Amino acid sequence: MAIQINDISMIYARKVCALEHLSVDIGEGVFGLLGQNGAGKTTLMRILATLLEPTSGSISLYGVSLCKKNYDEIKRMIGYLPQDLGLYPNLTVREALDYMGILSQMPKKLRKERIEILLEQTNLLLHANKKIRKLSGGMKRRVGLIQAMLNYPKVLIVDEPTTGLDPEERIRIRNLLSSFSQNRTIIFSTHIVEDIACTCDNICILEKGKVNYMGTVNDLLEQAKGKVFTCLVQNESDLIKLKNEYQVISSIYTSKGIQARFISWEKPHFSCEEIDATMEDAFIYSTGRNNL
Amino acid sequence: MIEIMWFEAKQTFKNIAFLIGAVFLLFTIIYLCKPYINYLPPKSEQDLIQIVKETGDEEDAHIPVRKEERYDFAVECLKENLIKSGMKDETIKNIIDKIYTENMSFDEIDIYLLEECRISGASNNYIRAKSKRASLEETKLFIANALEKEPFSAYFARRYADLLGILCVFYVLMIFPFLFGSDFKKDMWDLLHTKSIKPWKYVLGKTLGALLAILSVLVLVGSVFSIWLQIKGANFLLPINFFDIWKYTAWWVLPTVLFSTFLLVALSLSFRTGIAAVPIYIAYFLWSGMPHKLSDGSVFLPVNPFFMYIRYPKLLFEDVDVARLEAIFVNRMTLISLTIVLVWVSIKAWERRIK
Repeated sequence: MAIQINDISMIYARKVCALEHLSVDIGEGVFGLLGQNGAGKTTLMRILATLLEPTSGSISLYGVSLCKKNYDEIKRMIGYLPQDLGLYPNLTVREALDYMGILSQMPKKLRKERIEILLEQTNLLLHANKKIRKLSGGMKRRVGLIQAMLNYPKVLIVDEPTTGLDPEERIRIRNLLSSFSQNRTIIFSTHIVEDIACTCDNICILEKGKVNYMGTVNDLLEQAKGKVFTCLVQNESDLIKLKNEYQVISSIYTSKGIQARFISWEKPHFSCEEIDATMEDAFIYSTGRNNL
Repeated sequence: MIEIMWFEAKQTFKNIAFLIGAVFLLFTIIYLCKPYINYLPPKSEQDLIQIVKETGDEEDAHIPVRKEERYDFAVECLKENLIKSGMKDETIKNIIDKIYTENMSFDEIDIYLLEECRISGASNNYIRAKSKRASLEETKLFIANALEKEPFSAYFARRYADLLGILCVFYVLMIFPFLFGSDFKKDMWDLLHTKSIKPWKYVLGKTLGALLAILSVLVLVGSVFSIWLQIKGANFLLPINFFDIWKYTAWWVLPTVLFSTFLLVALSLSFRTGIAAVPIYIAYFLWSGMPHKLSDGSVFLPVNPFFMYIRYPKLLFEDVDVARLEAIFVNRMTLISLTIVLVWVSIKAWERRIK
């Protein structure tokens, strides 16, 4: 396994437990990290990025133990994209990337070559001389990704890179991550379920600092098979009754009434139809929540 | 580290605050020092009046009063002021006689005049009596004596470095509190701490890069004055040493600039905001320039080892006494030592993580 996380716990000041005895093995490819806000995704990623030390437990990245004395080696091995990276607004894209390359201690020639390649791959070559502050949110996110990829890291950690982006930009970033994942590990944290379904082979769903689900996307979908139904209710009060009994995923107002989509462990006795589970349904089924 | 330095130096050259500061520094130092370069050789009383007019400092046309003459000169000044106040000649004579008969100090004169005549501030005459307005001949003699000891460039360079040091204290304030400004944003801070560069290389590289830009301005300013002095020396056959400007810049300005720079960097990194560094720095600056009143009533600018800047004596051609030179040496050495401590503090502050 590329990354082995053994029984780690992270307890912040005031005894807030962000991670509780977490054990996960991560192979090469894109690994999805799902969970609601506060589930512990960012804490886990900050630990992997050497920004936090776990209270207990051990981690190894490609055979290198994640501890203070190995931080230098680990840092050369990782690329990290935080959630709201603004970079340096007054620098041009090329300058900012060059600076990040310097900080990654890359030789000048290699830096220049990689910047050109990655700018081209991300369709940013035309914007290379623009100042960061003049870029759109999506472009900034792509620049952030390039800086994380610049040293061709064995482990790329990206924290919600698609949040707040339009669908086109999201697809672009997803494709970029997929194409970069050969022979390396990408840890892709998001709460956008669709992104995970499109890019990840394996996922981990975190809930309150614990592993709620760990496995493939297909297995998760398989688990939810036969558990998702749709029915037509006449009015709001019927919908409330349904919500009280089942996990309602969505409700659409139609001319015939309210079309509700819900999860049930077994087929209900009233008139309803079983439907194919989507990734979102599977996630809600897994977490037992309906408020993504 | 060298690459970071160059990168940061280039960025600093594009920084608008740096450019404004450089222009301000250049024009201000030229404006302040021009009268001293044009001071020599005074040909008439009018030249002496002119320098006072240009520098705005009455003492620039003064010569020092010898210690043993200072008391008599101060009493003479007091007498003139009493005449100007409209006091009767007989009363003035009585006062002066009493002062000499009882061998009164100026603190005692202060109390005596306040009680007897309701006149305050008599001791100011003694404070001011450390130098006097000289005639053209006296001034020429004073300058000639001074130039026998050291070349004109040495006297000028002291005044130049004295003024430049203070200007630099403000110049670094325009740059360094905000040098790490973008790095303090949480995500940027996180990102930078995942990079493989060593903390000391990052902090030193970035700071020295910006410092390099500031030093280049000092080199430019120094070159302007070196050339100016050479021309002045050639035209008026004055003794000029080319290295004086650089010697005093290195000895006088550089420790102040280094200390100020790393003080601001250490403060901004410790508080994780440049704004917090500014008031502390200004308070330090004010403390460093605080005058001290001696028991004889005279005021002087002391030399504390921890002051970020210190002043040379007021008069252009005045010698610096040995005790003060020794104190200045201690101050410079202390600043350099403290700079090393501040570099360490800055690196440690950078290494700290956001919990």
